[in-house]
Amino acid sequence: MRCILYLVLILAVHAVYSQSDSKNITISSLKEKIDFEKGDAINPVLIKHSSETIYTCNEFRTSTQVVEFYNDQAGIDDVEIFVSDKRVTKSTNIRNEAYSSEGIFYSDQKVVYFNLPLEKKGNSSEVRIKKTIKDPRYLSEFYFDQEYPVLFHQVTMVIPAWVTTEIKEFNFSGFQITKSTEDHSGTKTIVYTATNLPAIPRENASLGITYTSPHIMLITKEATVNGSTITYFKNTADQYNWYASLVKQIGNDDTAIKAKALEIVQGKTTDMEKIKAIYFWVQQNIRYLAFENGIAGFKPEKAQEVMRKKYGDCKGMANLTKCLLTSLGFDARLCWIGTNHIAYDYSIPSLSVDNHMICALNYKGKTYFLDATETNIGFDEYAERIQGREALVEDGANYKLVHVPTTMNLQNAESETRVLQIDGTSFKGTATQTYSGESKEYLLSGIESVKKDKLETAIHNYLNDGKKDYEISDLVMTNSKPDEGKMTLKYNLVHKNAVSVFGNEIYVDLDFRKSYSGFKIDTAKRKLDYLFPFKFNDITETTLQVPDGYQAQSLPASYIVQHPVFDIKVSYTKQPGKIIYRKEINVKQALLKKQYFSDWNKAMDGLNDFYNNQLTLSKP
Amino acid sequence: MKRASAFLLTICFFSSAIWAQNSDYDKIATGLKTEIWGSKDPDFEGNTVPDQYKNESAIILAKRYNIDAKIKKHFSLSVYGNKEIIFKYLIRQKVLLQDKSALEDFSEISYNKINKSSFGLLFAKHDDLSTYIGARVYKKDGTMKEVLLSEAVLVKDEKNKKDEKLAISDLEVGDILDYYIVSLEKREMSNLDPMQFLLAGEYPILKLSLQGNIDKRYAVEYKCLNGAPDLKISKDEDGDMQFTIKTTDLSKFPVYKWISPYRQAKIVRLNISLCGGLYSRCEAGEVTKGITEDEIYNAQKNKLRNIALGYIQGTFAKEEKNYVKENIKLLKKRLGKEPSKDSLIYTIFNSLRYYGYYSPEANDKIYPGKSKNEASMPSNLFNALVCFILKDYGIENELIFYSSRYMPKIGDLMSYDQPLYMVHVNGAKSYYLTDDGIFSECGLVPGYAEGEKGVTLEFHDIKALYYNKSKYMDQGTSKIPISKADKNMQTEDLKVSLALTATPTASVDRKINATGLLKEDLQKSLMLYEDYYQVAWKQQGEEKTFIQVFADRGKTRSLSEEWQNSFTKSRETYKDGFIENLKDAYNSEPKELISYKVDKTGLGINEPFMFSTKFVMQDWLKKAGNNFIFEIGKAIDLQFQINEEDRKRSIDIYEPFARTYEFDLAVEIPAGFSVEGVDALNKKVGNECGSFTSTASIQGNQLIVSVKKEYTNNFEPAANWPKLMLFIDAASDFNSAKVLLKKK
Repeated sequence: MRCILYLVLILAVHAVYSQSDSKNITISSLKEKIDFEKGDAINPVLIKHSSETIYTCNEFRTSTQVVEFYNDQAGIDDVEIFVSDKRVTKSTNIRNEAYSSEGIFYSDQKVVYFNLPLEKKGNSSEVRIKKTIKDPRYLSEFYFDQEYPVLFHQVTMVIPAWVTTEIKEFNFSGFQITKSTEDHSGTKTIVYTATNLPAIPRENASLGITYTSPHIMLITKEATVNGSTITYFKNTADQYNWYASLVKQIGNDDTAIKAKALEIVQGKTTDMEKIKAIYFWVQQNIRYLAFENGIAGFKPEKAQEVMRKKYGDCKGMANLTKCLLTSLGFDARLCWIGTNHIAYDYSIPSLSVDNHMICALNYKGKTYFLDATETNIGFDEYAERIQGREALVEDGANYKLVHVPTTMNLQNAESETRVLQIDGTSFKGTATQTYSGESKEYLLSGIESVKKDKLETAIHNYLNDGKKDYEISDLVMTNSKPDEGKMTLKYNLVHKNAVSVFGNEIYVDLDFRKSYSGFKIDTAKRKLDYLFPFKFNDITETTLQVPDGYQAQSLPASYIVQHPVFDIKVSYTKQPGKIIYRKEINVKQALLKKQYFSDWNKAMDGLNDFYNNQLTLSKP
Repeated sequence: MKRASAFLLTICFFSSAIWAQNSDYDKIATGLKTEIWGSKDPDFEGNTVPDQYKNESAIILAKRYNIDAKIKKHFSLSVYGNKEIIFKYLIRQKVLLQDKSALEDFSEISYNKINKSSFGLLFAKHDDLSTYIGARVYKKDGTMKEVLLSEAVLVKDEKNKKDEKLAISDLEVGDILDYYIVSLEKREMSNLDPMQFLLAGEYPILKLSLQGNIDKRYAVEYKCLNGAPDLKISKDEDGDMQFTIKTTDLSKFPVYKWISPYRQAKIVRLNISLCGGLYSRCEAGEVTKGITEDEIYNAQKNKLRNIALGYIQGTFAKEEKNYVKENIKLLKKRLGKEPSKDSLIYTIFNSLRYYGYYSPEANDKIYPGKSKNEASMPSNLFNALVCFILKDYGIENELIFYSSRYMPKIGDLMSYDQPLYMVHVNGAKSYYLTDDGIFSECGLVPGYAEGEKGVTLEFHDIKALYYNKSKYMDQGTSKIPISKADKNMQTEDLKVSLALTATPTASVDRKINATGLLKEDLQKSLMLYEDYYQVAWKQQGEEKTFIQVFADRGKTRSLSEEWQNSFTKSRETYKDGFIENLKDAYNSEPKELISYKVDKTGLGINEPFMFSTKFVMQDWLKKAGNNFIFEIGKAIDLQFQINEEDRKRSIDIYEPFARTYEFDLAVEIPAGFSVEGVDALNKKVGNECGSFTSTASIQGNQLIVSVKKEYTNNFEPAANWPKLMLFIDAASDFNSAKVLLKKK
């Protein structure tokens, strides 16, 4: 498990390719082969992987960038490049660099990349790569679809008798994929052949390719070398044992940790106060910097080192959180977990199953999951990406599988309550906005990225949508720390040019933000389910004091939509001297499946129609 | 600081010398650390910050640059000589971090630890560079911690190239970070890369010093721009040069819209070189203010002489010359008489533009879509060629050497700067000609050149230029003209019909006509190469398109098909440009785009760029009982709005160019409805900086609204900002304008 790295790499490879070349270039053939070999004492079982990819130009000459990742565990032995049947390896400028990306400070991940020309319509270019994977645990999955449409993709796995493996298949339905198996004196040759695959769709706000792309996972369970059996991952217990063996090597300094823990909880009297103090201290004082160098990608940094450096990654922070809590006598444990971008759970023993580490705390019969990498989330609140996910929790020599709770969308609530009067062609009044859960976290993270001297202006611009007619003053922010619960922003406002006066009639629009206006999904283009960042509850309420002598003409009818995934309710109500506009939008699940796109669009149309209805106040 | 080697604030040459062995590296690192931390620089003593800075993201308490260049003799087999430079460059900064944003900025240092290369005859030329860093953290409680450099990680680990990265441990908001980066470079004696020091950046600087110690075999050229303090110059007993700047209380550089940092920020420009370059005035052992206009004239003249030689001998632009000749022949044939001066100028310019940009060669890459729209070429060469060819056809002209408005003024140029060229044809009608990309218009001065004063060179003929016959050459000055606002105009003609239903919509027939400097952005964003190529090709009077030419030859036949395929592909994206144009204009996507077309490419003589779209908007109308509110202000495009924080402005305003925007709306009033609120649409605000005018009236069954916004000048002093705000605010207020459509 490396903190989110796996996912980032997959996405990075596909981000390199130009969408506009999606029909011009096709992969006419991709052949991959896996062989097992016996290695040395340090790496007794090696996997040799070869691939031959033929790119064909269909419309007009162009070029593509070929990218291949490697690291300390999976090295590139050879690269051969052919352009229109001529070997050009020596004359190609092959770049070789450390791979860096947002959030990963340093990793042993390297990338080889070069420009591959496609000389002419009808011509092909070929790339052959040979790799050695030193430890079968590090063999990554085989995805049948690629950045370009694939006409033919064959994966051949030769499994000798001295190796026991298992193959898992994912997302085959709807694709043309066949499998054949041959057995010659104990050596199994398994061949998967896929034909006519469309290019991997690259769409924002999606769960990720593990859910949709057809692929296979080759799990090496055990191997017999020189008479002794090496166990890799036969089952979850093996995987846990491997993780646990790394954890045993950490070398935490209990004395230093306890001293720090006592310092953090000084003045706190109850257990819960102490627990929260520890969690928020790690969350707020340790910067996230991921080091994914070889085994460092799997072994947490020593807790005292994370404390000293004031930076660490998910493993370092989880370990530090756990150690600080256990030093005070609490039952805290490390847990490995895969975020929601990973389709698998621990029923599959593989390094691909998880990409994150958090801390679990058992207290008075309840398990709390503490993720210090969520920089501004509250205690007992959970980010969408880990909700409902299976966590592998350490339990000494054993392990437990526990699910992180799924919360209601009310955890991430936002509200805006305004009380307005009309003053000429302006609104004047007060507003109170509240944020909690992930809504609050997003806002706080945004605030932290702004320079101090620009902060007030930035917040004003955020609150008034950048519209200078909406003047904000006397802003008071309360509960802006993550441990303080619901955050509130109160301010006075003058909204100029908001009111249209024509003779004896006044026309007003009581919804300033018109959230989700025009937020429709292009059902013709979009192929994948739509993933909201998190589920939420959003309430907008505006109370307008009706000027003396005026009354509202008929109020627009309410608009209500109830759906398994989302609810919308917008209405006007009349009270003596007042009109109250109320809008509540609930997105109850973060994932909006494709089958619901037309329902969503219809709801957006209805919401837009409602927004387009203004209120008329007139003198009778 | 995260962004490569901490040179956020400077556009600096950054070179370092290497000592090959690791143990040497460590020894030098230790030595430098002792030297720098032990230097007792008073600027770096003390950690107090005045209260006025309490609200800043970070404050740089002290910043120091040291530049040292020493020449030494060494043993070498090289035929190039036996001297080498030891060049040392130090930057040291002490910064108080007051928020998380600053913590992110300063928490990591990346550097090129070692970079060795060997080249030249017998590999005797070498370039050894190494970088040394040191950092200390002063905590809030006053304790000081030395940062462990052993925590740096290697991000590139090759034999002769190592790059490292260090995340600073135990760094928190409220801490003070004192760090240095020293580059040492040892290489064959040569010029150093030019350096620039920006004396204002993202954070206020309390104390800044720049010190140089340069071997007397070098010459130091410098200029201090925009009020930057002058260098204090001295020499030591060896005759080596010292220079110093010491300054305090430098504010942040304000980032507003419409600025030109090279003309507004305090900058110190330095060039440390060996004499013998293009400029003859260069004295070893002296620190002198940089080049004069005379020197610019002489240097550019000498460059042109080289180009002239190639032109005369036929090694430069022979094909272009022949192509122009062919086109002039065709022109004469078409006219049936000798062409006028105007026709000659247009034909020469447009032929060279066509030859350079429009017709691909067989081995050119195929770039579908709009990528060709951004094409550029070496402008100065193009302009020199225009000058020479005009001369060949008897059209007298001069070359102006000038600097862009977004680069230092001509008086602030250094010897290594390359001024821009412009051709000026004088006469009853003046022409200013320059290449400015694939859509260059003959006689259109780019916005970045307007108003610039340049040095001119006029010569009798090209031979006189080459032989440097001063009798037949003239030096002068010239000011490039500034276009008036009515020359750069965008007119929008909008015919709007309203469907007043339960879901009201506005159908719009929008025609845009753009002239002058307002054409280019639209041309680039909307036109496909295939379309404007066809127009340009016809204008040139060529017999065959390049695709037909390719098709005719066996070797290039497949290219013909491939180019055609690339055009088909780019056609798929044609619509997107128009949708983006509407989204930008209205900050909202149209409900439906019915039709879209470029009507005129703007490539012809005095030709505007014209395009039309028909679309439906659904957020321009609101229902209000039986009536409707038409948010008519939205129809005039989203106007520039001045943010709260930009309303007080202290630096001059560099507009791109003077320009006018006009909107003529004709809204059909649906039967059964009357319009209220028309009078409120009439507004007039204006002054010498610009204006905003809107007039509205009912004419028959139409609501006619005319809006005009003008930016009168391309430059305003800061004091005029309130005058600009008047009409800019009026325009952005108009975006909120509404009328009532009342049911009769």
